[in-house]
Amino acid sequence: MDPLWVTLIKAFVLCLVLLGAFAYMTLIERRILGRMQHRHGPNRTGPFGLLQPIADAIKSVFKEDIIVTNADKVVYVMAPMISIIFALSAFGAIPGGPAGSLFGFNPWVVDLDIGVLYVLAVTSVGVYGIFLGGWASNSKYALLGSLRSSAQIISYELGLGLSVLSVIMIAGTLNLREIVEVGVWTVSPWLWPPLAVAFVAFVISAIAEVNRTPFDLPEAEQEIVAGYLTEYSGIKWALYQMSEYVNMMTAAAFISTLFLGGYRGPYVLERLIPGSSEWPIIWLVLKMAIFMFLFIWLRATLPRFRYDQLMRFGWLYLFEVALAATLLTGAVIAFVL
Amino acid sequence: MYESLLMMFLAAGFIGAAAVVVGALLGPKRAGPDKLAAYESGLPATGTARERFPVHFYLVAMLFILFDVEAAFFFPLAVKFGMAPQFLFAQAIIFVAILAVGYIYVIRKGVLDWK
Amino acid sequence: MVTFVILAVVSVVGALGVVLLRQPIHAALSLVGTLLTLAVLFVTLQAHFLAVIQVLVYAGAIMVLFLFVIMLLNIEQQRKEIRPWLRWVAYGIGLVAAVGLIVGALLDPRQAPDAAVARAALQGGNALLIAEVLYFEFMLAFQLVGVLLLTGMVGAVALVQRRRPPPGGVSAATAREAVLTDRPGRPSSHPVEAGGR
Repeated sequence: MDPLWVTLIKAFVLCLVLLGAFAYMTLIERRILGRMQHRHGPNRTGPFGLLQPIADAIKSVFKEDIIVTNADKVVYVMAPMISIIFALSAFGAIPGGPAGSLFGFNPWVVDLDIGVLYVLAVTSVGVYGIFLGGWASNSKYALLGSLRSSAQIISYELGLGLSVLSVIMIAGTLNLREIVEVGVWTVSPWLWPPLAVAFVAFVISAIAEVNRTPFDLPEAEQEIVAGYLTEYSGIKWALYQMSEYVNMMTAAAFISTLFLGGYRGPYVLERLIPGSSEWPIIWLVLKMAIFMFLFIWLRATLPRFRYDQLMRFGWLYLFEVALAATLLTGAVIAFVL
Repeated sequence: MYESLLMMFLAAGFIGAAAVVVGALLGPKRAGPDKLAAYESGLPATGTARERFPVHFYLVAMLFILFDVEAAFFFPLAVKFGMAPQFLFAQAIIFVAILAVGYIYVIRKGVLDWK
Repeated sequence: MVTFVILAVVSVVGALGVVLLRQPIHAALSLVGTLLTLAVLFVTLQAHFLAVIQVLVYAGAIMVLFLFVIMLLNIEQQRKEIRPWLRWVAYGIGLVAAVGLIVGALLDPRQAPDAAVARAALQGGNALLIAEVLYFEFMLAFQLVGVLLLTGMVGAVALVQRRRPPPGGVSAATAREAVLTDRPGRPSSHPVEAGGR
């Protein structure tokens, strides 16, 4: 256990790193999307557009801070803060390596024996940021967007919660570090099919949770302008963007930690080269990067769902598949192993 | 244990609050009635946005609670599962079967057919 | 102790906010704050699992339903008090209940277990401990919860679903069928209903 001041510093550093990563993720996303759509993307501000995020940051800080006349002022200001606070805090539980592997300190901020549920719970509170943002704006588009969004997020939370059960059953713990140490895929080949199904269901739910394409209905610009963001500008708008990207990173890290051995190197590599799991954070970041790329790739590839399709997909297919994967895992553990 | 949680939320809260304060201080303030009106595709904003909305949202939230409680009950079960797998599996199957009745009822009633 | 006092004050203030705030959404938010504070209180008592479930189920699900219901009914417009005397009756009942609770708590002869004992018992994940009791000792109760949830589901649907004549279409499937069978020249009777929202 680190001393308290170290924890505070770690928490601050984590927040700043996440915000820096957010800034550069926007650039990377725009560049990749540009490439995928046969255009350049931002490349004028600095070499390869590397200064673009900084320019964006400066711009959003110096923009006029508009509070709409009809808005509920207190809630209007509070909503983006709720969004970003819970988005940043959720990441704190993700372990970046075994105890003491970060220059003698523990590479996480909070270590809980119920880490899995902590991440799920804290991210689920983030829905208030979106709901209240839309409500406080007192604008029709914003309200519609936020309603849609809250209904979507709670619907897909079920898929998330149910598909994570397979991993917990196999690992027998809710502690994220212990799940990584168990290595769910190494337990038995019999468990591979249900795990694979749970993994796919989990990734899909996670994408829906963070409102990315094809589940980005809250911001369907053809129908409801910018959804809950419609009346936000300047730094508050930037806060919402930040929380969206931080949530994406949390989702990527969460998926990697639960299903792909988190901060550990690949199993085979670990066996062949004993030292390959040194610098555990690198492995985690690498795995996160793969998922971040996947999120961007999907955005360039898939069209958006229609709302009724979205709800039906979540409640009928995803729910059933996630539950089936869980029961299948249970059956395998109970009757085969 | 909870001190570290407090630190995490403290840091995150500081970042959020600082951003809002800095934005409010640095930005220009040249607002007019038109700029501060709610956006309605260029038309003058009319009425309030807080109208009544479809009962479907209520149903989705209600069903979500029920299934969320179900999931919540499964978490301790999943943690403990290795201790008595067959017994717990039977329990889980019965529990799911009871809820499946409700799930099928909900589907057959067309509640999840969003329109 | 200091932590407890701070948390207690915050949660009581939040609870008062629920009752005293005029705007229903503000009151609901105040309740969210109270629930989150209670979750933190559970964390300080080493009941991590309970804390997380408190956040997941109460703050994450039930309060979202509350907010939806507030929006659904559009309560904001109903400010007029129908029975003014009811307010005073409620104050009276609240006061009696609060006094009764405090007196009851002070007179309770049972000793709370020592903090160290509780902490040792809860160390190492209380999800496991809950599972040990819930699925073995209270097996029947656990299954009855399933029945209770089932009742809730049926109740929620029955309250909302109105029986309508078939042509109007209860499900989207039938509505879509109606559109498909429409003659090209004839406009669909319910374009909004059929075309998705």
